Amino acid sequence: MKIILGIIALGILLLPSGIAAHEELTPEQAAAAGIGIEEKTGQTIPPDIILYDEKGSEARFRDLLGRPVILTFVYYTCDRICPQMLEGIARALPALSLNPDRQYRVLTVSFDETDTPTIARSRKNDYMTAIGRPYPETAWRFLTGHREGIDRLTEATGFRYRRDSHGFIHPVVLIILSPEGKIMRYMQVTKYAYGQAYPVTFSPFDLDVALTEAARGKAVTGVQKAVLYCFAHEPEGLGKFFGILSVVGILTLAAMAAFFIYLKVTEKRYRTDR
Amino acid sequence: MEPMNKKPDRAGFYARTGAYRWAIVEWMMSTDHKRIGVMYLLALLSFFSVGVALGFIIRLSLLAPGWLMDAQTYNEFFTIHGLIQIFLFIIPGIPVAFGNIFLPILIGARDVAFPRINRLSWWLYAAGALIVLTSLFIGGKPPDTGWTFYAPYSIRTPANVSVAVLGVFVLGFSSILTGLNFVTTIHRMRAPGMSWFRMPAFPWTLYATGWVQMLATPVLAITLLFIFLGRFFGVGFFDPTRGGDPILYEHLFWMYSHPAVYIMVLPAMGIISEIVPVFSRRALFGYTAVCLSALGIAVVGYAVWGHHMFTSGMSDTARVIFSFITFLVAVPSGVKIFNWVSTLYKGSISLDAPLLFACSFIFTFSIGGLTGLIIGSLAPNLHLHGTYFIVGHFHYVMFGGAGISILAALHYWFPKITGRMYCERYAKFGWLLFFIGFHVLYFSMFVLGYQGMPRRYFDYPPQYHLGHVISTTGSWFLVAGLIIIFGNLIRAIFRGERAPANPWGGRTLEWSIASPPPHENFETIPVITRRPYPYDVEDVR
Repeated sequence: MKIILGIIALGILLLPSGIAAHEELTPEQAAAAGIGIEEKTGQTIPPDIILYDEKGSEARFRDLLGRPVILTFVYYTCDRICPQMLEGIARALPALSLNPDRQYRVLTVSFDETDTPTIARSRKNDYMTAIGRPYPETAWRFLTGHREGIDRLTEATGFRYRRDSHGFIHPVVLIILSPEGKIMRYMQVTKYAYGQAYPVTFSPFDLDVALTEAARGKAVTGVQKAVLYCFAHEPEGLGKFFGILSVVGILTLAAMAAFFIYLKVTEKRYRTDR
Repeated sequence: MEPMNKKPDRAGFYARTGAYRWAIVEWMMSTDHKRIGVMYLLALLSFFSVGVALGFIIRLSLLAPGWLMDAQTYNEFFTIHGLIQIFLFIIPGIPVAFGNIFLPILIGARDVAFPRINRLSWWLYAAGALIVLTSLFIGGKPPDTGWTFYAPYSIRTPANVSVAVLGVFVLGFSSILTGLNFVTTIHRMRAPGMSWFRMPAFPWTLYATGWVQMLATPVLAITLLFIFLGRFFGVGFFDPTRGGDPILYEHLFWMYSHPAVYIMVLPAMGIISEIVPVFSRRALFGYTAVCLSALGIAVVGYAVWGHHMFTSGMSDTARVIFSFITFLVAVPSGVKIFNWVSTLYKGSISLDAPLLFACSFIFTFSIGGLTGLIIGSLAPNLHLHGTYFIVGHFHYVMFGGAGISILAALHYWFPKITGRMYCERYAKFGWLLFFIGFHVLYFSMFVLGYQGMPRRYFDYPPQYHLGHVISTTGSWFLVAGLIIIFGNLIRAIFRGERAPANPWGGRTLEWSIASPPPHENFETIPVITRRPYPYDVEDVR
């Protein structure tokens, strides 16, 4: 009894920390934290940015262009929305009417400089398999980079993200580039289908239109405000909660152990008294 | 009072003590473990019948979705079905009813260690049950969260969740006190000469259960308290809009509710371990292993709760660990299954109703356990978790495990509890209908689930119709079987032949005293000189 009352008392003690725990990511907060998209439609990405391809060899950004490009930023260790976005792309690509590698190309770039070409190669294998039909290797590149290259690329595209205790906070967006490396439009993900097997989907028709227009050099301006962010949600009060939980848990276990020892020690006395 | 005493069958502990004027007060104020146990048993079986009726109506409604109830009513029905069957019937179930009646007798004691705390547990149980039932009838809607009270819906729903949660909270205290009482009783009240390994298997499982009750139930209490605080004071531990984490709720809830599975199933295994030796006239094979595996299950069972949450957001590392430990807990369960079967091997078997039920326990529980391994592995779990497969598995373990063992115990100990014999033919006929109905009803759920029928839905696409019709047909057989089984038992209470002290040839202590047992059980406390199932020494075969 005492133990339980003790647990309840301790539980009530930690209420203030629970009330204080408050964390949400509204578009305003995200913007205040400098996370989101700063529109740079019409500007050209510096062609001399150096990245690394899946084999680990240097790849100049200029050499990756030459046709309209879908540019996506992820980090390869992400276990939240990044894989779901890539899955969405993998499902949309076979349905495009354009010819892969000749008429468009997908560039997936990790903004985490600790990601290696090895892990990029393994991701590439996953999503190539997910496409479910033969698809040219060169049409979807999984790139990594040094801090400097990453910074120049994200700066040029206006992609604002931040490192967090559990990965990164970043917007979910497809950036369409012209064959010359000019930013043509931002396609932001606004819908997340909760509970579906594939919560992030892209319309092949929209992608077709965007890539065709990018090939013709037609830019579309405008960035939506209500967009999807990829971030880890770890309420602040949770740490304290677990701290108290472990103390209470250990106390309970100790009390039970003490009770057991007490029963064991007094067992003989009670049983011979009878 | 006078005319009541003339009734000839008020024998044993049913005889009026004369301490109170009204019988009902005398019973409610009684500290006799047998009386408390019988009251528990009656309450449990009443709730069970209500729960079965609700389940029956749910199945009926699934015959053609929408013809009997709308979506909200369906939610309320399966919530109340779950609340009643889980919290009012199966979790307290075996320990409070059969444990109370037989634990002191099996270890050669006159009562439990704390008879008045025992009475308090019973009062708390009755109060908790009343509070839970109140939530159905007072203003507002009955609870609609499912029996798990998952946050944040349980914090936001306008339904009467608070009252139901309060009831479950009170029931939890009853459970803790019972555990405390039984553990102390087993430590202190064993008859002279009854060492740990001369104790029958049922007390062993009650001992393991007692520790689980004491350790796990406080977690539930504190979790429900937070639901309470969330609803009334806006404390947002589990509410993401207030900075809380709904997955935290799931962790805390299953940290209790998975061990609770062992609160139900461990004593069920104890009952089977009592019945199988008696009806096969053999000492319980691997007696020591059976007893210790109860402790093994209780210990390992603490660390598997995560397998309820494989699909709700957990790191892969945690998933792999929980999955592995889940496989581990199958080992002591398997030890028991194999030992029961080995006990039957070359035994002199008399296939009476209790053994029929015990064997169906072994069969059904094996299916429940093995399907548990399927959903305990990570990859199949992703496909099966949200489906009827879980519903099927759950009912195979709860109803097919704990439920059937209660039916087995009822038939096994019925002569001892009531002093009457039931009709064996009707018992077997009822068993047959029940057994067929059970498997038709719940096995089709495995198939439905594998095909992708989601659980908790009141509606379904046409391709699942056949499966649902088969399942519902099974429920008719099952209910018919239950009606025959209980009709037979109720008839026996009034019309049955008088039972001898030892109708089955049992060798444990309860069969050495009169049926029904007298107040205080034993005139002289027996001295124990050997293991509980001495058929091998006696050479009765």
